[in-house]
Amino acid sequence: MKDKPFYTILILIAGLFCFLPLFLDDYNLHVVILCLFYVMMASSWNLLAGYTGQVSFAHAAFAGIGAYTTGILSAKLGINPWIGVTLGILVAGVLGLAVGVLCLRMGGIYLSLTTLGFSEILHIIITNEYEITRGTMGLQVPGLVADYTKSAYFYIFLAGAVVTLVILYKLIHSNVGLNFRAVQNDERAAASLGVNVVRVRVLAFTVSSALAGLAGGLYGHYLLLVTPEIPSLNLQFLVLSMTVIGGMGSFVGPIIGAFALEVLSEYIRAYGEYHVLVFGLVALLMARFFPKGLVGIIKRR
Amino acid sequence: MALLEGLGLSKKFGGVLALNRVDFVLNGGEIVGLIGPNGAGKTTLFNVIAGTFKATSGRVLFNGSDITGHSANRTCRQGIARTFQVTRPFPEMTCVENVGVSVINSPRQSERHNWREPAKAALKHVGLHAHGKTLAKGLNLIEKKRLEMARALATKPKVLLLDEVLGGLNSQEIQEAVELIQELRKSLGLTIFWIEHVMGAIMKAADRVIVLDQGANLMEGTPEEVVSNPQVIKAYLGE
Repeated sequence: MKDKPFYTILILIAGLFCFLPLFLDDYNLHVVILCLFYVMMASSWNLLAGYTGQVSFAHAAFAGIGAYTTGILSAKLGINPWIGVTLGILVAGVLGLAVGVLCLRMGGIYLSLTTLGFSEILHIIITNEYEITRGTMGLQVPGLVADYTKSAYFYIFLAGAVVTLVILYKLIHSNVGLNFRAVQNDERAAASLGVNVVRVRVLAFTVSSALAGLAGGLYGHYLLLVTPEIPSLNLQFLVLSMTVIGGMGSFVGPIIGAFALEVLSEYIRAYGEYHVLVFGLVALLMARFFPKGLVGIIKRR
Repeated sequence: MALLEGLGLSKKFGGVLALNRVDFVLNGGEIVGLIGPNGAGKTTLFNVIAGTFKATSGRVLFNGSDITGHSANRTCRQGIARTFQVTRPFPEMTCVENVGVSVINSPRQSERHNWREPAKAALKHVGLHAHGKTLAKGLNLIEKKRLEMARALATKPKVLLLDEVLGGLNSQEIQEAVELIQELRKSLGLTIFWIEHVMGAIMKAADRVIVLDQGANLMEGTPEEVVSNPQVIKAYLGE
């Protein structure tokens, strides 16, 4: 019963989005595709940070794992990119499980530092294993569709975002989601009421990483080039800013944040590197005055 | 018949011996008080039973099987629920959701997918039914204590460990709480182990009282025997 408005709104918005390629030129369509990629990234990171309180810095790294898995398989071994993307999801999920288990006994800053370390190690490996990854040059990969058009990719990313959001919504509004929030609110109290805290945290890590793997895999095949820019801290902090500015721990927060920041960054692109400064300032001001993000501001009105 | 039993339980924190070979027995359906001066190890004993801490040595038997060292969530699922001395509600969740966490994780709850109904029933049991949609952080102290009780009850326990549920309540509220606890034993057949500083309540409700002092058993007996025992008076008041 409670699910109905969500699906209605999702179908309505996705339906309206379907008409966008009729109105937008290639450049604007490109911006929307990037927005959808960031929606997938920010929403799945929100599952970890916003719903179970695990602020991981390895989310971009898992996107990178997805992208390089399918990139290497399709470019070097000629495997179908769709199969590659699927395997990328699996590899990201399994590694997410491993990192989740590694971080089990850690909370707060220790978890963040460990995931930061994982992310940097991965970045260094990818940059240096030139034979396999072509380092910073990047790996040229085939596209997902026979003839490359922006509108084809737009529909692929729209489907990816919808699938991601439905999975997250289902999870958050199931019994598992209630356990997620209990663990975030008070781990010890949750354990005393029968919540298997270990399983809850590892599950969140696995699902979130697998979804990052999906986003990363699609992204690589869209750019036709997989570079160390995907598993980078730049992307990680962009996703973090989107989630925080949009509203961490709320379902629509990261979606709004992803669109707001990507569109904003296109407008201030002319100022070159200064746009990073603007993002920093916006994130700082939001954290100080509106800790619940844009969603918090809207709700207060 | 012994339902919950502790045999020679010890707990060391660094060089401090917080529990020193403590023994206890709870029989099915009993209300047993656990008293002792501050620092006697009462809450530590609860933490060891409930799996929050691992005992350094000794064993805990529940229903005849050894549950020593089981994790907190496993102990709870087996049927031992506890409340915390300083209440630990999930502040950003509503009261129904708070109790719902107990419902969905309890193997003895039949309605785990439709958890709202049993959660509301548990809230009603403790007189919080009007607060179902209130965020737990908006409750006052007494309401938080009631919520803590509702959450423990919704796990459908066989044994309930109550850690100073009456602290901070006035005499009218204490009266009500004691009646609630007695009623719970009667209607749900609960066995209750109860740490309390309000002696009047223990005198009225407990079948037996166990006294700890400096981490060790001091004595046990009926409430009347305990309060008139010179050793107990000495432990509380000093020489």
